[in-house]
Amino acid sequence: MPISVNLDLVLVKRKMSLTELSERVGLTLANLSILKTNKAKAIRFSTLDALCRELQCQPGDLLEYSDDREREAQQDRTAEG
Amino acid sequence: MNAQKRISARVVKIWLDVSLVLGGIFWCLLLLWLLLSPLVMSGSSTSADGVVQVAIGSGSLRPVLSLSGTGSGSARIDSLRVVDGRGELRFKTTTWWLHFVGAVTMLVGTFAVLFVIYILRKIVVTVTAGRPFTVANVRRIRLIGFLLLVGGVVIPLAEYLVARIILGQIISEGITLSPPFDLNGGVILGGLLILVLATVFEYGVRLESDQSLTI
Repeated sequence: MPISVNLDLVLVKRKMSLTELSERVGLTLANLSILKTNKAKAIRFSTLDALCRELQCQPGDLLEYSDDREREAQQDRTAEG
Repeated sequence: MNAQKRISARVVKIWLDVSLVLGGIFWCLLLLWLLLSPLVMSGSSTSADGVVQVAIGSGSLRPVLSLSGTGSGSARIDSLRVVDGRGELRFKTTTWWLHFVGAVTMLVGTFAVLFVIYILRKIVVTVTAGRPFTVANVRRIRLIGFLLLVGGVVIPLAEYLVARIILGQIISEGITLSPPFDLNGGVILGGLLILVLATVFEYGVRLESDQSLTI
């Protein structure tokens, strides 16, 4: 999946544990763990809203797009150079 | 799943359990009886019963038996025929294999039915657990569909072959008997329907997976 969730990074920046976040946003630890490990297939706007509110960040801080083909091409160029 | 549905699923599970146990006992006794019958029959003139499905008349798919009759009145009888007549030939034999072969289709058919009940029971267990949309259940439903599809063809074929073997050994006088070949259209259609249902269920599994991984 080219979209990844940087929840762990934001949590480190905010010095917050996953358990604390789960209590604040009302999500189970299991669901947050799915989100953190990039196993989720979709994310609800309501979830994103709660996460951004509690972590005081923008959706762009939590989500990141990386094109796999672009990344592979970059790696090839680096290897050749 | 609400309480009422859960209770009904449990009732179905109990019913399947009882069917499985009783059917299993019946199957084991049938097998034991068939396997022990040569001991009873050998060295004595004790005969055993045998039953075979037969068709009256000649021809396998639509057997015809011509009868003769006279009539009076305003219409004259042109011809009198029994078409597609099915029956059961009960016989006594001292030959063990003849007695055994007559019960083989029943033995195989009962085993297939018990296996289907066993698979159904497994599906009901997942329903009571509240997670019926699994890949394993798709496989199980598909297996039931294939079993019905194959059973609808293989069992009539086996019955035809068994009846052919037995009728080859029995000389029937006064009536023409043929081995019948009745494709079980209802069972075949049921099998196809279940295969379609398995594909729909597979789509349900995908939806369930998407739904459970949407946070």
